[in-house]
Amino acid sequence: MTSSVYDFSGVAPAAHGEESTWFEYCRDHRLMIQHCASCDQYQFPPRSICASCLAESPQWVEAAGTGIVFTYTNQYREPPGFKGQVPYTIAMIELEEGPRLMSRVVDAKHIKIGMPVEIRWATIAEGTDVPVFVPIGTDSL
Amino acid sequence: MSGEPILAIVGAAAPASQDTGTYTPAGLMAEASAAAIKQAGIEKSDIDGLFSASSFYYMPTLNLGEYLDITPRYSDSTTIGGCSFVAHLHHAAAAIAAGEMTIGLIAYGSTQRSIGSRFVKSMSEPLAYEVPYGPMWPIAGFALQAQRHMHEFGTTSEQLAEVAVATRGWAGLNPAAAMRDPITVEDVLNSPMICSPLHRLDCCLVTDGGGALIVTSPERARDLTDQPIYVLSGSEAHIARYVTGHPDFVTSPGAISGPAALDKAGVSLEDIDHVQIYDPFTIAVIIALEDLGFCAKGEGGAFVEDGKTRPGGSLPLNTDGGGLSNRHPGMLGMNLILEAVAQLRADAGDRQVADANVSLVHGLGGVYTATATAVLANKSFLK
Repeated sequence: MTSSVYDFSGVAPAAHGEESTWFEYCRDHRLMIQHCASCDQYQFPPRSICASCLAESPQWVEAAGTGIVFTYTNQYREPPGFKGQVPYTIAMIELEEGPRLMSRVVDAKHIKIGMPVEIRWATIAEGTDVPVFVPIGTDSL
Repeated sequence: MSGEPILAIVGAAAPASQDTGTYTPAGLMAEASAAAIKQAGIEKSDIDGLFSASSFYYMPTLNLGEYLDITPRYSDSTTIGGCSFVAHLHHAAAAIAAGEMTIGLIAYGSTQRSIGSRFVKSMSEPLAYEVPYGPMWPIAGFALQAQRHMHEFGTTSEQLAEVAVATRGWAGLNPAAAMRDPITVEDVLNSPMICSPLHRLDCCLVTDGGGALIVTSPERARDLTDQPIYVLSGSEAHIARYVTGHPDFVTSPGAISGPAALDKAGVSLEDIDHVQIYDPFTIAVIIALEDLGFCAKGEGGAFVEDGKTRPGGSLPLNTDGGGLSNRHPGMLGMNLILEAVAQLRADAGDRQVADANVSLVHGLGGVYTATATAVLANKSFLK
């Protein structure tokens, strides 16, 4: 279990099926990806099947929660529901296990591609926690 | 196979009322369709195939058919984003070759601006795993690709800006373009940052618009017009629905559809006189030029830097002023085709490219996760 919990006002998605499962794990502060026992591939977003070999019911596994910034953008316009938050950094995080996910990078002195990051959790709406990432070491605030 | 047309465009028109806010999207589609039908010299009852895509209508060919009172025997609402209409060209060719249709109408209408939907909400259909982070659709997805392109290849903001500057130069020659005053690289860099590294002037306009095309077999076209515009080939590809699924953020599916279309047409890039590339954001043009093979992967920034895509340059590109400066009604693919037809008919006024006989039309969809490419030519090229 990670310690820091950030608070942003944000938008909780309408989640269904495997999406709901993933967000339920998030409530317990577990970042889940999937692993296929048949072909040994990790995948994210979660799916009903392994997108590589079509094996059924890929296994939910907890990611280590570390990775790098694969790419990012500093967004200066606030979409509905994100009032007063801009600019903020949206990034694609490449997890240690391989898959990438969209997230936010927070508490960074600066941001650059390739920067190592680790997971924190943010509450964006009542009952909805989502992963965010902070730089590891000296790049952190 | 070189120069064997698969389809002919015998009517092509934009809706006359596209900037008046008078009509619904279906109204604009129908207005353009009526003009294209008249131009083609056919009867409405000759049309037996309908093609459309829309961010307003879930079943757009049904709207089109009802509004025009047409009952088609072939109907195709394939939606792969803004490039859908480019894909419809080779879909229509396949339907004609299979004997399923003889004359097709491809139409689009959008009131994106007049209804004030600047976020293109209907197109966003967001991914649950992206929603909590508030990425603005679609610009954030393109910004993520631009940033990665800069990181891998050293592409600069100045090089991105050159795309906007060159395109504005062409818009200056198009009396119908929305934004015609010249701009400089500095103007682009000084415009407000929206999603880094993309400034406001790296972004397309938000306008209403639409268009319609009448298409038929090259044989049938001979009876209808002295000036058919031929489609030599078409190809499409898609790699993901959401930017999260983008494989590398620097290579678009254009690297598949582009070379495939050129190969099927039997033409090389040296044969291309004029290029229309879907330009929602400046980065898209740089990536397209690489993926189409005009330069190596990563060299798109340096390729445009010398101004070769400006008016008078060696590669006339987005000669109507593109989505960046002419018009962008949400799905730009129709406008790409309309401008290629205008150039190939030598009907482009002050912006006419001399001896434009072959045009490469390259559209994108989604967050650059779909593309459709077509090669168009006039009779002079086929001789």
